[in-house]
Amino acid sequence: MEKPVMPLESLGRRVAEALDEHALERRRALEGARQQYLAAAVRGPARSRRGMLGLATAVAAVLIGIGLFAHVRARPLVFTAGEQPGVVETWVAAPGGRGVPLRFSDGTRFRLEPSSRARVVAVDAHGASLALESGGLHADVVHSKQSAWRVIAGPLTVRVTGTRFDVRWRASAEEFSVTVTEGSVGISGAVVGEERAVRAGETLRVFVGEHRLELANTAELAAGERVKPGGAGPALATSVPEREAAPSLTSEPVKPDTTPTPLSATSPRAPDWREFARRGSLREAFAAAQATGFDAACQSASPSELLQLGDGARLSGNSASAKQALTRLRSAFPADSRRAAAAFALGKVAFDQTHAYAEAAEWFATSIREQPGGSLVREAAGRLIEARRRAGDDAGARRAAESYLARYPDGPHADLARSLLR
Amino acid sequence: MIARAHDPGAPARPEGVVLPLAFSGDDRALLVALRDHHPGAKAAFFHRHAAYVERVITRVIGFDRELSDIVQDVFLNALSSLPGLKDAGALRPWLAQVATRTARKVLRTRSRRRWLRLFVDQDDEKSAERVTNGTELATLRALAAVYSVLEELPADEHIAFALRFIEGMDIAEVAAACRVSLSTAKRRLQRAERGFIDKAQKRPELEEWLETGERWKSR
Repeated sequence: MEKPVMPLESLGRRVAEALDEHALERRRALEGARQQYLAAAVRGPARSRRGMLGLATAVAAVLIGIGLFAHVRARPLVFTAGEQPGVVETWVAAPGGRGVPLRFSDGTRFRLEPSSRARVVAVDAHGASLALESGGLHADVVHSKQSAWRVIAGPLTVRVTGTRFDVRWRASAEEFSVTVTEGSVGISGAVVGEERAVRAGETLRVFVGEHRLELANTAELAAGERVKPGGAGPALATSVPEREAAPSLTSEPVKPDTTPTPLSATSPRAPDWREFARRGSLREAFAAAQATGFDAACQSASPSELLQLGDGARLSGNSASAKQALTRLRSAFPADSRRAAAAFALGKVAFDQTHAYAEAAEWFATSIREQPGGSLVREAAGRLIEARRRAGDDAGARRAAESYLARYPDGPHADLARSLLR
Repeated sequence: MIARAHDPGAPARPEGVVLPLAFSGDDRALLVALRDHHPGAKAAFFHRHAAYVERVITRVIGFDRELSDIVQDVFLNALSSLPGLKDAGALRPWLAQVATRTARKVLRTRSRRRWLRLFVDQDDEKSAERVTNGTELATLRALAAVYSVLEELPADEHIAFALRFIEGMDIAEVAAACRVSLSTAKRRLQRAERGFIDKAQKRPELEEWLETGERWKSR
């Protein structure tokens, strides 16, 4: 019989590669396995754990009189998710028709709204960190001097200084909102930058993709008006700081940017693209710029305007024009601080619209390199992992995952990063 | 995430679901936590090692529609076998043993049915092209042929072959995964190679793969 000269190793490699072509089906199967396994293996022991916890609590109560209560108080808070004992990094998915309560042992209550998803990523004696993956979360936090609570929603973080608020994150639209009913919270992250306070009676909305935010009096927002500058709270600038005092809030009715803003019947002329841009109506700005000559608009635009035109084009699905505006920003204004934001936006165009994942990875890496402390860096670092993985650069994806976990162990992409490093 | 753990478009499940995830601590700490019945540890056990187990299973039996059940079985079997694990530092090799043992049971008891076979039927090439997400049909046929040939071997030889040449383990690792001596592993591999080559040469779907980069030589 003829004997091969080591062909089986190469055959084996081809088999492995062919199997890896079915990565999507395999991931689905793995997810199915996880659900079945957890249903079979976790719930039973969790009940016994709860029994043990009840016993420990009883023992702790008995020991109060001899001074061991302080020891118990230093232990991490415990919580329940729905009817089940909570576990750190518990993944909670609320059904379509009802919410899921998260109850902590200090009396703090969260309620995950219907069809929403969240994780408890860390718990200690003073509070917890929750990651809101999608949907809404109502919070009723027991505030003390030592309490430390955080909600991470996409690229933004809510630091809870007390006490009652609602937060929403729509990942598909990249829209964040927080409404504070009592006390205040501190918001930091994309578009917002350094931490800013949102107080009782205020609602902050952040439109990440449009680099725009709005702070409004909640009651007036509900009534369909924006707060006037100098009213209930400080007027926060949008991500268009070309004019430092540019008011983002006017007396015009608030309209979601997903619908075109109708031209005012009292305007003597149609607004040009700059006026739409100043209002934050980026799609309309792009459309107006196209109508009067997009090339000319790009030639005359400032860096912040180019960023707006690029985002407007991207949101309108016009990847070519988006690239045109954003690359013009980078080439014509090499020293401008918005270059990194333009790189991030170019990465999103490449990833989401043209599916050029290797190119997207380059842009996300560029964005991180040019502004390592910027507000978009966490999102860029997470998307870098995704882009490299999609581009087939497994080694690069793992390096990005390691770097991400070193900086953001609780970040939105932490699970993805860990899965690549197993 | 998550999952795709970050799929905001995924529909909500019919009832609230609580799924514990990662555990912080190395495998030694994880093993202690598992023995203490810490619920977070059991979930973390899966989260940390599931991709590896799935890969071993898939390498041994091919992509299979019962993959999720088989992977689940591996982990449940592992949990029940924990008292037998002496060296906490060898959690992954031990898990490879459990996966191999589970795969062996699957191979021995099931009949010849493979997901791939449904799509390489001569009368159904169009649906194969649609569902293979771009995988060339020839590659799919070759892949099916490899596992068809392996199925004709005794289960022990099938497993040794798959671990050695598809998963890429060295002989010592194959021996450890199969819980046999090195000499037994070598004998199984020799028989597996002879059996596989003998049968594979008769499969035209494998002609290109067998000749890739090398030539068959007489010795």
